[in-house]
Amino acid sequence: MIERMEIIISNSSGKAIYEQIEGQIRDQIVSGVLKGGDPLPSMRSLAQDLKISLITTKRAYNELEAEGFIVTVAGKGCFVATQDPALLHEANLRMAEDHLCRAVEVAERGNITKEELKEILDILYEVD
Amino acid sequence: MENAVEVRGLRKSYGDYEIKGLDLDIPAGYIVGLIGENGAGKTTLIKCITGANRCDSGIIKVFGSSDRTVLGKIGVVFDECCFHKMMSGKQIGDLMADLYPEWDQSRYELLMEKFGISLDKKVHELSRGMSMKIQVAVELSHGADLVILDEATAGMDPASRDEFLDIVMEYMQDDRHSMLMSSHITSDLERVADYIVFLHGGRIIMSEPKDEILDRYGVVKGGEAQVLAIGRENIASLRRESYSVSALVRDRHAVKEAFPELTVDTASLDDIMVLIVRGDAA
Amino acid sequence: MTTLVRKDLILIKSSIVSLSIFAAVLCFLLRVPLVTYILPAVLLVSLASASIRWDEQCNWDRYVVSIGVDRNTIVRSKFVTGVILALIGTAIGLVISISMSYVYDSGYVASLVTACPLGFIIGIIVSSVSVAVYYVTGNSVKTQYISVVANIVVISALITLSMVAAEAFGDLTLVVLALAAVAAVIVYTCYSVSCRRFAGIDL
Repeated sequence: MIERMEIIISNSSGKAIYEQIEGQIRDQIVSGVLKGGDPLPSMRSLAQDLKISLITTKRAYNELEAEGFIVTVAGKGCFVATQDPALLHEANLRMAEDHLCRAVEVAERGNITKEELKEILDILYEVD
Repeated sequence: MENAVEVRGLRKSYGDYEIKGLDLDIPAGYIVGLIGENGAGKTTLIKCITGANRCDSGIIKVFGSSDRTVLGKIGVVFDECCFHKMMSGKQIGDLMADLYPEWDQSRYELLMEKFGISLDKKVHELSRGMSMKIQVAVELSHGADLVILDEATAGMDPASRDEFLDIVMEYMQDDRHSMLMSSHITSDLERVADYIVFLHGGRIIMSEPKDEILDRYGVVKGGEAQVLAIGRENIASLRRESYSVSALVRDRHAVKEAFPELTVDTASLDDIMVLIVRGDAA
Repeated sequence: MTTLVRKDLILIKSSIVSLSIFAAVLCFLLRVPLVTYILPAVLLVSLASASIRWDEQCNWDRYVVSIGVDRNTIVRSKFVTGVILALIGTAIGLVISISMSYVYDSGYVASLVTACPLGFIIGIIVSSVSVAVYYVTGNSVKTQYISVVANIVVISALITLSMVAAEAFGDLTLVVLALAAVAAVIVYTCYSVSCRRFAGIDL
């Protein structure tokens, strides 16, 4: 089982619990923390550990499977699907775009120009 | 997805009360938690499902059949030890081995060991909690696909209950297993149940997925005028206390958004039960 | 069903021993031949209805029915337990009378052939009637009294009938056979009545 997989559920977020789980697992697959072929905990044990019901974890897993992120092997359980690098790249692009969207919002409110933003981007890449 | 248990139109008089036209499903692979005050009909319902009670009318199917199923497919734990007080754990094991076609002696002994009960001790030498544990050990060792627990943890100390719930969850890892669990200890159900069914006065007044109930229901506390301003249609139940009013709301997120100045807390199953039973329906 | 009977016998074991000793003492004191053949069986079969009482105390029936055992099977097991107890009682009566014929001289052993089956027959009659009374009246305080009264009525009727038959037939063997037939009818009736009552109640 994955020790590295982390799922934190918030009671006060307006988001449904299954959506939170689905989102967090998806993010970890997309970012490479969970790799293709890695086994996932069974729906029941995940439900038990998170103190939620099987219905919720089942729904999260079903959604992930429908989107192609995980596969169910009969008799063995659920595994991270080997990801198509192109699709993965696209998913990562979307995530980056989301984050950048927020940065742009902050910039517009704070009267920061596009050039200033690009400068910050350059510095960040250099540091990495 | 098939149902482990299907109840349709159950009618049964018991004591001063009556179960009228009750419908219930226990989907295969899930745990249904049954809550309700004393006299609400929980045990009566369970006894109707298992056949210990003769029902006035209605159809009850277990694993799709109205006839009693194969011996051993259903496990039942009632709130008192059903074994004669002079029997020892070993004698009970031998008896059950004779009774059940799919008896698993090694599993029984393993569970008894986990529970810390010596096989030589007779039932009358054990505490109430331990005699319940013997029953649980028995019911999980004969290949049951449906286990029904009626107040099985009453009388167990918190550590034992915790251990008991772990063992229950282990049993449920197999997705062919289903469970109906009736309990006053709502925290247990909050931990393990998938669905919650609230029985009140012989009727089912709530039957929903547990996560949804705990996510959506909320308790609003405040002055009477403040609370009533939410609107009667949003309030499930109202309780007037000495210095304030508590209201059970069905959609706390909506209420919080519409009335940001009000204190809206999450509702535990206990809160829901108490407010509905002791409050006034709005 | 054998499991249920086995369970009853295991739980009754020590009571069988103590009741047998009690019966032996009574027989030795009373020194009535007929009593010696009949008393042990009658005493022991009371344990069959006692086992119904014990089952009810711990709600055993409720459990057994819930896991899928047929209700008639449960009733049948009580009747079978009664038959087994009658057999044991008759055997004990035999042992006691043989011992008594050594201690006191007399024709205790002489009437063995007819007396043995008699003990057994009366034993199963008493057992069936008592069990039926339990199922019909439920387990209340007066159940035991009703059971005693019912048994006295039935046994008295049978004794009267036997005496009449003995006069009429002359041959005791025939009387015993007739009694056996009557016993079979009584047992069957008690069983049907018990099953019907037990089938309808809430446990």
